[in-house]
Amino acid sequence: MNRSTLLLSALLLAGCSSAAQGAPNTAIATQSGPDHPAAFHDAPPASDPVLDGAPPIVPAVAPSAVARAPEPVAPPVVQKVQARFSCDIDIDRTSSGIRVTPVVRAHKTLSGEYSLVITKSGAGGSSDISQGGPFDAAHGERVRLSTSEFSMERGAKFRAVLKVRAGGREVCRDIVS
Amino acid sequence: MLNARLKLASLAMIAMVGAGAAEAQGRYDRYGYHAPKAAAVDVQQSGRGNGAAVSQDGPRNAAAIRQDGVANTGMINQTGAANDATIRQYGKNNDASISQVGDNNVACVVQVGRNLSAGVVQEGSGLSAGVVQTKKGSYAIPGRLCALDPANRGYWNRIGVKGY
Repeated sequence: MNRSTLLLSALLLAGCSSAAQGAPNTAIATQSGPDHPAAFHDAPPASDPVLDGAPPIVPAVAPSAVARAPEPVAPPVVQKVQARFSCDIDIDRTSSGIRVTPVVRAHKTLSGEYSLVITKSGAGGSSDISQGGPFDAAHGERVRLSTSEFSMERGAKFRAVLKVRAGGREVCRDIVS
Repeated sequence: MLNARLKLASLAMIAMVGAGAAEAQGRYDRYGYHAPKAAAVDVQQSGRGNGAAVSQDGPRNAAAIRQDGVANTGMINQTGAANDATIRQYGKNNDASISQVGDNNVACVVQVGRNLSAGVVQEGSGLSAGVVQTKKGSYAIPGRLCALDPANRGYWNRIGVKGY
């Protein structure tokens, strides 16, 4: 009885100590990334019976932690740029037709380029207008990029597309027809 | 005679319709030439089957196309800054084009009649040229006269041509 008790307690002790040894490994700095290569090398071989039993969950956790990392970084940047800049195509009727005025408004000083393409078709004829160039917008300033005026007879149709680029990418677009 | 009166009446109507639309263009005065202050396009067409195309790449370019009649086509290409181009065509099957590459150039093409074709190409800066074409012939005019409207009284005298 005593022998068996001793044996049992010895086994328990051995199990506890091996679990305690395995615990740091379960931190699995080893598997979570290359930030801790030393820990990776220090990890016991996979054939270690203690590791096999101890932390089977950890490897599944680490990749999910890695996958979660880039999520919060990317979206806010995009939303930030879009929220700080707006562009519109203003349409005014004139005595001879329609005036198209592309405007931008930036909530901080911004430089960029714009392109405006207008196509108009009607009985009187068709018009294709393409405008583009650089612009500078001061903080809170509403900048008129250009004006285009053309005749609009009855039944005529038009479509205007404004694209604004800043920092090497498109930051705003507006389409009116 | 009646035909001439009709022509004059139509030109007068065109002048009324287009009045005040060309303020975005550059202008000459006693102090010299004043380039356009902002990018602007003005296309006015009446009649049927006319076609206009304008392409601008750069700041403060101004382009205007006025066409009255049938199947006239006008095309303006501007690359650079503060260029000023005007096309006016009255009649049928006329074709005009202006190409400007550079800065502060002034050009115009005026055509009255049928089946006329004219073009101006400017490559450089500070250039000025105008072409007026009728069935009577082609005439070169200085850029400072480009702002004048053929529909206005005295136009032909101002440019030194007996009329169309």
